Formats: sequence, C-alpha cells, structure tokens
Amino acid sequence: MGEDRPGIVATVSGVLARFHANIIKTRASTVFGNLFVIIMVVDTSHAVIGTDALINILKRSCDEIGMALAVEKGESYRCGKKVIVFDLDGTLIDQEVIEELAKEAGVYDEVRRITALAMEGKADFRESLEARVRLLKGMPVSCMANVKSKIRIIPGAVELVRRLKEAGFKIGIVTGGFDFVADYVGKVIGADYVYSNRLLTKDGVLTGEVVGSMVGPEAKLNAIMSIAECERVGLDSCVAVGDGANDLFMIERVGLGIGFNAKMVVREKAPAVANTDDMKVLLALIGCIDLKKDIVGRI
Amino acid sequence: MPDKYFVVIVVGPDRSGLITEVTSVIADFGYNIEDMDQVVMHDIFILSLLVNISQDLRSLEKMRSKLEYRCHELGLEVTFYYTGGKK
Repeated sequence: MGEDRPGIVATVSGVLARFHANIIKTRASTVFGNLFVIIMVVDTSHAVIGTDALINILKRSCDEIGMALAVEKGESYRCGKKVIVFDLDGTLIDQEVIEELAKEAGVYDEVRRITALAMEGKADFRESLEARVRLLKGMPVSCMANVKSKIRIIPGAVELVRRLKEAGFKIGIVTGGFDFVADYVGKVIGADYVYSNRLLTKDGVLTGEVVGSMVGPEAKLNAIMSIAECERVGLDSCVAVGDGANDLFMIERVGLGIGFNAKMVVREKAPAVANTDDMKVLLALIGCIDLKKDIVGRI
Repeated sequence: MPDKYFVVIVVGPDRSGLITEVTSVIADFGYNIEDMDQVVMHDIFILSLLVNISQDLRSLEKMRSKLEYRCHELGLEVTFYYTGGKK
C-alpha cells in the first residue's frame, strides 16, 4: 500500500514474474482518495529463488516506489488478528522522549550518542537506559511537563486506532520509555494496555534511577504475551509495530510484525515494512480494509 | 470535468508474468490503474482493470492497439469497455 501513481502494479507483478512466482489472485483499489492497495495471493512453488530472497527483493522494490509491504505465509493471513501493540518513541510519536528530557537537562549530546547505539542494536539496552537516566539526575520534575507538552503523535495514529477498535482490536503500547508520556499517549489514542518504565523522583527532582520491568527486547514480547493471555488469543493473532532494534524480537515472533519507518536492521528482518508519514497505511497491511466496502463508501 | 475511465478485461491460459506484461503497457503510457481484480480459474487467467484515461485522451487509441497486439502475442483475449465517469 502506498501513494497512488501509474506503474505500481507493473512494478510489483514484474518482480514476481522475473522469478517465476505465479500470482493466483489479486484485489487492488484506490482507498482514502490517494492511496493504492494491492492484495496478492502468490504461489512460489515454481519460483527460481527461495521465498526469503524473493521477499527481500520485493521489499526493496516496494520501498523504491514508496509502497509499504506485508508478506504473510501460508495460513497466517487467514488468522484473524485481534491485538496490536505499538512501540512508543519513534513509532507512535516522532521523538525519543529521553532525548527531549536530555535537552531540558543540558546533556543532550551524551544521551543522543547512547540512544543511537542502542537503537542500532550495538549496545545493551538495560545498561544504556540506566546510563542515560543517570545523566538526568537532579532535573526538576517540572521539566517532564515541558517535555509532555512537546510530544507530537504521528499523523493518522488516532484514526488508525479508531478504525482498528471498530474492527474489534485491543490496543497496547509497549515501551522501554517512561510512563508519564506513555500514559498520556495511551489516553489520547485510546489504548487498552500501556507497559512502560517509571522515572523515580524525590523532593521535586529526578533521582537518576528508573524502575519497571520494560527493559530489553524480551520485555516487550512478555508484555504482548500477557495482553494476549488477557484477551484469550494466541501470538498468531497479535500484530507488533516498531522501529528500533529492541522491537525486532517481538516483530519476529508475533503473527504479523511491522517495521514502521524503521532502522535498517529492522527493515531487513521484519516481515512487513512501511516507510510512510501516514499511519493509516498500516490498515491495509493488517488486512483491515474491506476493499469493496471502502469503495462503495466513496461513491 | 469528471475523470474518464475504461474497463479492460483480459482472459486466457495462465502462466507467470501476464499481469506485468499487461500492466506495463498501461504504465508505459502513464495511465493509472485505480481498481483491479484478478483470479486464476482452472488454469484460465482472468483480469479486469479500471483505468483512468482522463489525463491523455489522445494516446488512448495507440495504447489500445498496443495492448491488443501484446495480448495477441500472449494468447489472451482482450475487451475494452468505455464507461464514461466513475460509477
């Protein structure tokens, strides 16, 4: 799915044809006025390269023409998705909260350097989180309100969640970031579950300590598993959306994992990728657009 | 002026590469496909396309004959329906 323009079908089907993958069924249409969605069922049994290699080439070709792509194997597509969880920083909001706090505390450059390493998967998440929070020690609590007032939620996120809820989804936020922002964003978008960490404060200033169990990639998956348990569904019915290396663990283990405006390491490994400003694109990847209905609705 | 469209129906024996062959002709002329359905039934390939033709009505006949020629080469039957505006 992506912004409509001539040649999209030719490009996507061209990649499949080049490797002798056969398209069995297609449904495609323009939705929301300017977005084009294609759903294809592809038989790869006669393909001249492996499925994973084909998916990678398809991903790159789609990225080049600004299309988001999701690939689901076998029966997975038929499995109704019921739970969706989002990473917070860089996914639902276009800031890294800890960097915004660091700006307030005047330690931006040091924090920025550690965050970048962690996001690319080059540093241990727990150590880097603790190291960054230590740098915030002594910062007045009022700064947290300043940061909260600057938070920008990604365009389309509120509408995306509204439509997902209409389709019966439960919504979760799973973040290694902090509760004062996560709870606020959760309230704005209408999340059912929020998992985050807490910055400790004493006498009106930050102590430089962080508490909470949302540390490391496994923590996000554990959070999804407990949401799934509450909702009585399996991991196959869960969708995970994230951008950083610490999201990859959950992205690779749920029914549908989506890299949203993701770092390179995530783009390469996520089964679905969307590099777009408009979060509504995710609706098509999740299979939540009833094409016929939407078209009839437009007339 | 409202956009103008035509519907293209392509039918014939299935093999890989048909969609890209047909849609490339349309893309080469810069026309946009706004709706598409395709299915394979008992090895017969069936494709329907809704093509927005309003941007360049002059190249239309040229594109149509190119498409007929390409479909003939591929062993496919092709039919065009001019529908006027979008229904």
